[in-house]
Amino acid sequence: MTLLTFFGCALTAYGPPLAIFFLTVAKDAQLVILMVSSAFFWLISILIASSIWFVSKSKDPITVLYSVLLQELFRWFFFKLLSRAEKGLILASANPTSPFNRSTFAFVSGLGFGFMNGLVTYINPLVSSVGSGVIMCKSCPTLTSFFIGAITTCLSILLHITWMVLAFEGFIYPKRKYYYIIWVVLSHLGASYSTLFNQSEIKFGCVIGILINIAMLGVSIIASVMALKKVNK
Amino acid sequence: MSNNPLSISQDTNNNDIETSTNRTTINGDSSYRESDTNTINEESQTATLGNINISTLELSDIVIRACSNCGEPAQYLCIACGQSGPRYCSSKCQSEDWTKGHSITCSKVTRASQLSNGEGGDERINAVRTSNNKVYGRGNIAQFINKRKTYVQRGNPTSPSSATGPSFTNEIPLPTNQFDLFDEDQVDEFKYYMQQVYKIIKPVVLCILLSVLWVKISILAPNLQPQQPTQQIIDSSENAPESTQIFNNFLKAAFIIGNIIVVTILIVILFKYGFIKILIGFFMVVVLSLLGFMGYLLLMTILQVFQIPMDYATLSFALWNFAAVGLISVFWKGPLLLQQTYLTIMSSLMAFSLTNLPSLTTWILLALLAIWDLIAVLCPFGPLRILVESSRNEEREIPALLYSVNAVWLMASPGLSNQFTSSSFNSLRQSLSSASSFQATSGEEIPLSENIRYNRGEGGEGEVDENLSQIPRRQSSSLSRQQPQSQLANDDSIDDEEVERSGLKLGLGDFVFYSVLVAQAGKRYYF
Repeated sequence: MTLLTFFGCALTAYGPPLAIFFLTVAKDAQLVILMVSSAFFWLISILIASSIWFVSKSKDPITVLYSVLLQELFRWFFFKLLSRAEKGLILASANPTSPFNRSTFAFVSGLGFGFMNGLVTYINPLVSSVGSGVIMCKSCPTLTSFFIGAITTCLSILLHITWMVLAFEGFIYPKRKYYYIIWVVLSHLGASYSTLFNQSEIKFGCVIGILINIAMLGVSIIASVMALKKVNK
Repeated sequence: MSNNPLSISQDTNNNDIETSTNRTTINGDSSYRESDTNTINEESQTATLGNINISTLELSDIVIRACSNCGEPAQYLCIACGQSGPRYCSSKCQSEDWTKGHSITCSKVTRASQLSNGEGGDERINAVRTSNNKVYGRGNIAQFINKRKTYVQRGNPTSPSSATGPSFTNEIPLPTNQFDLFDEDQVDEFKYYMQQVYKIIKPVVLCILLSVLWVKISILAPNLQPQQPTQQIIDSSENAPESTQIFNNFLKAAFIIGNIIVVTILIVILFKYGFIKILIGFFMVVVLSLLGFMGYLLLMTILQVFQIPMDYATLSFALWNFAAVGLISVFWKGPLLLQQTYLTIMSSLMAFSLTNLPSLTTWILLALLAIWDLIAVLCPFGPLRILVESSRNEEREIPALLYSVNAVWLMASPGLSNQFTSSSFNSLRQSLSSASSFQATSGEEIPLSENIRYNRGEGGEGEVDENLSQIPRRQSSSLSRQQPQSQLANDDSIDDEEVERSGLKLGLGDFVFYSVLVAQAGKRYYF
């Protein structure tokens, strides 16, 4: 049973993003390199957040607040970096004349952010799902927290992709679209806070949290598709 | 020249342009001006200069696509349109296609119509062409291009005088001048090295995963924990206060590092004074013992954990074959994939042995290693630096070269690599690091600076066998593992024939370094 749990959870969490990776990113060296570097940026942001936590031992809600803000800050840094290198990157890309190059970079960087996020937050529970004993989810006592975590991880990786696409659309100078940026920050906060339901006393809290995440994902996907349509014009 | 079919077709091109855009009529003017001093033949040649962007065959694009004109496999493309433009199998087809309609759609023409001053554009084209002096071609077309290049260079002295400053400034605001900022060759090299970097990532990741796997398996084994002997060493200090314990660990790490430094210097001296055979022999012993002995330890652990019954005869027979094949493929020859597999496995074995040290020692060791690498590579008298330079100057391969070169030399695309000289390599490296300085992530940052870095492989090469007697046996066994990385290798100065084989190179020391880092973390936290 434990080994089955392990593989089930691993594939639930990382299966869809891995499929995305192998189908779209893995063929292109440039995109893979971009992805790794964006993952590195996310790692720095979480390093800072964790050192703040280590010093202050803050409570969950506050921790979520500053770590999300730090992640958004590093998203901005990464955008700045990419926009500096953009000319060269576009020239070296597979299709230099495509209007979607910037969005492609955004997509890939989002995947990098998401992957690193998924690895850092979920690898420990995943490994312990092999071992003897399980941890049940507090708000949904019939489910293991491993499985809930797997679903949340998968959703958050996908969310990171759409956030990055939207944020890049919003950041673009000269006409910044602040509503995109605001949506990204707010939904990131919302998605993170909704995972706090898992350990709350509320009945079916985990279901609520996952539903909120799915709703965010739906809205973000629609918004980014609309944004990409505009790019094409 | 006039019997060259190309020049004829070029002439028709020129006529075409004269009727289609005003810019090219100016070209005609400039060519007439030059023809005052030159022969008639020259005139037709210089007239083609204006078309260079349009009619040029870009050799560096080796992606095979269908020719836009005849449908044959095509290697060349319109330089003005770049990757998105049509492909051609020959300049003849390009000329034909030009008259058929590409003259209207070509981005060069659309761009040219925006030029207020034609000569400025001309000048710009010349600039692009002359900087493009790394084009080596094949067959007729290549010869043609080479000839033309010389004409461009000859024509230059006159054109700067005719093209005055203001005209040059006019073109700067053009939207398309990104083509000027990045030389086409540079872009190709950029792509090429991105491929190389990508190919290095895979074995590094694999090596890291393998060593994490070894570490986890060895943790599962209750009885045969390789750590135990070394822990006895700690026992004496266990009762001591924490500070002395740290100091002891530090001493141990420093001792290992000291070995590494000594052996590195020894290798440099041996290499510099030409005792290559001694070096090779030394490396062979190291590789054999690493594969054999460490493989034995690991195999015993695995057998025990999974409770597989096996007799010693079978075991030793299998191990001997494993080690011997590894030795042959690494030092002599073998299928590339096999070589790479062995190098990866060796690195992971090496990392596995290092993680058997007490964890505090390992952490200190990692930090010291990083510092030592910096010193050895960056200081003017750093041994690794000397090693690389002397191998370059004397055009002699570092014996371990094969080793490390292969580690990274994962099927470089042969066609492209012909064009890379070490100078282009350097320029690329600069552009790479400037364009994407953020690459300093996990493994791939290294290849960028590999000129120097691969050598740093010796991170591990330390431990000499003689030293082993001084340390408790088990620990010494782990120490001896470190040497393989010594195989740094490098030498990008490789002669032209060799260039094909040279991709990016990465010392195994880097493999080991990252693997130890991750495995050590995995050992502690993920269980």
